Amino acid sequence: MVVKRRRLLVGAGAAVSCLTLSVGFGAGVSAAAGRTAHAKAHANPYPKSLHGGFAFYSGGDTNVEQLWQDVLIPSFNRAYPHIKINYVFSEHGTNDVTTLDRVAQAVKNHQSSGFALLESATNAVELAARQRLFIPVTTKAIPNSANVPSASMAVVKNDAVPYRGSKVVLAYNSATVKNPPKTLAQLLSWIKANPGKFAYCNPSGGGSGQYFIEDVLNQYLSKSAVNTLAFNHATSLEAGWSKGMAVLHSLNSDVYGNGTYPAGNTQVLTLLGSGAVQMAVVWSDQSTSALQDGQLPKSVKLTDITPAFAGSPVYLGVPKYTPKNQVRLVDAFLNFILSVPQQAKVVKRLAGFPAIKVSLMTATVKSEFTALGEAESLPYSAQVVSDMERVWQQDVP
Amino acid sequence: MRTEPLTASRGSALVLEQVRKAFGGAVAVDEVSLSVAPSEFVTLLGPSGSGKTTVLRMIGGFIAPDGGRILIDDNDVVKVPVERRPTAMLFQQLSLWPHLSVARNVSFGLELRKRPKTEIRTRVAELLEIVGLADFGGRLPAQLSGGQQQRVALARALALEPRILLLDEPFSALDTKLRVELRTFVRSLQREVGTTTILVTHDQEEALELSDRIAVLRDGRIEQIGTPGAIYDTPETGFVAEFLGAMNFLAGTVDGRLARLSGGITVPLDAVPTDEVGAGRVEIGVRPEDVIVTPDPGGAFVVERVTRKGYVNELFLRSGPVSLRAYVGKDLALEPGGSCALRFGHLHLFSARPPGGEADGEAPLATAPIDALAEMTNAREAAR
Amino acid sequence: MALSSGPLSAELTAGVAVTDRDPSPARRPGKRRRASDEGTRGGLTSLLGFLPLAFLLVFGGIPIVLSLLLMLGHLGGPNSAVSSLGQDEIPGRGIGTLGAITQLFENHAYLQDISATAIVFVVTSAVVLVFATTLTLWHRLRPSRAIATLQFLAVIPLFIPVVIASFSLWTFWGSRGFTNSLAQLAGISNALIFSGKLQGVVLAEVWVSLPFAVLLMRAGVASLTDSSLDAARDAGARPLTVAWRIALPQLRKEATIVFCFTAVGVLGSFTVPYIIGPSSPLMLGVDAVNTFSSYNQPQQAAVIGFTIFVLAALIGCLYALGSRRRRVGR
Repeated sequence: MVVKRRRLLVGAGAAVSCLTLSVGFGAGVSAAAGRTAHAKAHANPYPKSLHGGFAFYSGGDTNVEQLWQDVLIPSFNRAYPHIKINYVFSEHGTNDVTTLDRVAQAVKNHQSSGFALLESATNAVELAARQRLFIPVTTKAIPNSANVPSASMAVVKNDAVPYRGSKVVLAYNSATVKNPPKTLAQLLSWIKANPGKFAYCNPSGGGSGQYFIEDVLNQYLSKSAVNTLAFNHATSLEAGWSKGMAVLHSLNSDVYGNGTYPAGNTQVLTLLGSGAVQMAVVWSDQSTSALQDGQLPKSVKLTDITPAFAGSPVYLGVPKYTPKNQVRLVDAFLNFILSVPQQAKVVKRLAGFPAIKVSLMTATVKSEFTALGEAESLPYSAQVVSDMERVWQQDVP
Repeated sequence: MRTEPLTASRGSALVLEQVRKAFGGAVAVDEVSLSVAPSEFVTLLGPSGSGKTTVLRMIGGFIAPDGGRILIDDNDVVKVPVERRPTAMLFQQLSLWPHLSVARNVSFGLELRKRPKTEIRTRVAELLEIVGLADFGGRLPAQLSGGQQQRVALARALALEPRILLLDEPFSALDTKLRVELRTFVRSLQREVGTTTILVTHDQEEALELSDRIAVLRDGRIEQIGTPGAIYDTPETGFVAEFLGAMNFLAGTVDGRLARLSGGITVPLDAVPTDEVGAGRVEIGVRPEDVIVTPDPGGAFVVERVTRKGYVNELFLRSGPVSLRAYVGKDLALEPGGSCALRFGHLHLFSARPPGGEADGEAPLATAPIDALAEMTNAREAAR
Repeated sequence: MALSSGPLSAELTAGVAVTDRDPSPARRPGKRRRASDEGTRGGLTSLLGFLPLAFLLVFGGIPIVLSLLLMLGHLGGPNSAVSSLGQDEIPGRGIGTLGAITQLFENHAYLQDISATAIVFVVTSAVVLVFATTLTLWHRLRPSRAIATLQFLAVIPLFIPVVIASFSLWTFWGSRGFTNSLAQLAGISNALIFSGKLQGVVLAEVWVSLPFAVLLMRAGVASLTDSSLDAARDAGARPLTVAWRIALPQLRKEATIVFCFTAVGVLGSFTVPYIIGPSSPLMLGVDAVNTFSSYNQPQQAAVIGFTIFVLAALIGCLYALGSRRRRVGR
């Protein structure tokens, strides 16, 4: 199974939050949309007396592991003391592919894979959902899934549920950049005006670069074309990239190191932190924690531009043929972590975006995002991203 | 310590003057002085650890001495690096360069000296002819036997026309037959070419056969130096006597013209010059071939064991606490258990010390070889 | 002596007679057991020989065949799992199609990737060989504490994970790194930036490959006999001549191994060129991984894999030639 690693060194995901997209541009979306209700508290069908256990495979960085081990699972166990979660973690998601292969094989044989819940640092779960390896998510089983923006559900055809998101933002050094760009056009002219002082990473290595590239490419695409590429491998629309690629190519002499595209997200932050560049495209969660840890100087500020960079949600899936009693426990777990208080913990811990609509969050949480805004479009779907990365490699550096 | 007087330096091919070398704290060579005449063949003989190889490597320039002088043709060479010393060494291990043909091995030094090609070719052919490997020039060392390889190494060393040829146990890697063959060859070649040669060995037979003079080394010092015959016949110390040839040591006490051994055995010392015989404890040294054995049912000595040693038999004899070895003709009809009487054809008198043992301080050994037959009696016989 | 030797030899003959002509019944099964032991041992030996072969076949041979089939467009059967998710596949019928191969080789960028890779592995291997040989041989001919320390330092990268090393080197050679700061102090700005450049890849690969090369050359140099080196100096060779004309020719085999292993290592390396290398051209290792996981093109990735395989095979030939024993005469 081919799985593309979006982010090599950081927790994955970007927020798809409240979309300004109109509802109903895909078959999958309408199914979800019908159930979308703006209810904050859904009746919880799962009693505290539930007991049993299940295995949960998770791939990501240590911050993800800590989120589960130190925050979410302990608080779940306070609510459900008799459910035992066997948390299996793979750092950087190195075992994602083999685990997914195992699941795919088990599903093919109508058997349980042993894992009742999957998360991956890569887009493996998203791909698996598209392969229909998971049990569809319903609001009956997981009432709180109604709080998830319908578009994020539609991307995976309702077969998986996001539990967090992250977003790409523009980071700049406020000590030297007094007037940060507010639009993509301003950003592009800033880059030209300040050669060598801007960096975005190779899209094959770190996801942050991907969203900058998509933003540039999307300038020359119609809104409907962008929407289509978010769901379908529409190769005919990819021809529209040529103008955007030409723009990116023209930036070669103006980006860091005369057209050097750092391999990963961390390297971009290193460049920003060392002062080698003044501005860069980064993950909001990664840069926020870097600021908190002092890895980035306080003078580094985060902002967003219009059109805003896209992001992507991180999904959890329940493999088909998981024993019924375990499915019930997993659903209780998923319902729990999609609740507003738990989502607030996710946001706080990872400095990421909630999986549920931001509008449902408390005022303090909301204020965190006002500076950054919310994504205006969905990112390209997996196969389109693959094409985009290939074309970029061919045309740009 | 016995070293040569330092007067022979003029006209000597090689002179060592009080050469010293220590490795870490251990003294390997302790004030060795030696003078070698042109065309002389001198052997440094000693057990391992005696410093003989260190001396040789200092002459060759592989090791720098801590002190003293090394003169070759009256020039001090201590500061001259290996590659510019007029010496050539034949090594213990097979040391041909495996990637070069036999001819290239021999010509290497000449090439470095930028000799004309035709001269090199003639010289190599000549040298290979001398060592009897004329047809082997195109072969690689690995295609040669050990003996052949050492002969090539010899040719290689001679190609440099050294003032001093240094032989570092060159025969020890070979089997007995080849060893004897090659050393005979080396000896005749050395006589023919006349190169001053220093040989290092622990093999006494080799030393006796090849050398004009032998220097016996012990603990970094020269214990005795002289012609093979002189050293064999008149060893100055028990160590030399034991290292070159075999020797029985019998502890006893001098009593007038007699030496009394334990067990009531007496050895007459009539033939020993009186002034050499002090009083008190002595060691009587007798080489096994100087023990004359006569079968005698009433004799004091009993044969314990008989070992064939090629052309002689070695008898292990005992009388009470006194035991010794004797070499006798094979026709002597004596078997284990048989009794015999002994006479000593030649004996050496040393001051008392454990034979072959560690050096016991600075006490020099008195030596007193005698030439006349020394009749040996024992107490029982005397009583009868 | 004559008397004692008689009975002794008689006794010996008797002993032989007893065991040979009159084997006691108790010994017979023992003998038979020994024979059957040998049989088992033979079987075990062949099994032990077979196991690695089977292992190679199952985990090496079959996957190679499968990816060869994939390259030629056989997308079904055992390749269906991989190909079902792949993109831009060119299916082949019969023997197969060369479509994926021509697609890549007609791409100028791919040819650049190949030549970049070749240049990097040749230069890296040569530099590693020179460094390792100089360090070890120098120490052998002129031992000193300084060289011993250098040798020791050269081995240290062995204990540092490549990812961490690559990342530090990337920073070290970057525009705000140590080398460039030094260059700027000397008034030559941007002359010593190696991050994002093939030169940086070469430097880092040298760093990564040196420990093994030094260890191997050290073993080789240790196998040179003292006497053969001494004999050369004795013959009038200065240390450099000894190194060049006596020691080096004897180290040909080790040198070949160092060169080839470094080359193959560099050829297949990913982390170093991924982190340090330029965005274009790409080293084949990075290209293959990108094509497989980022561009989601398993068939094209198989072509790149095959390209690497062919280059490695060429290096293998060099190895076979270089490590062969010299046959002279005849």
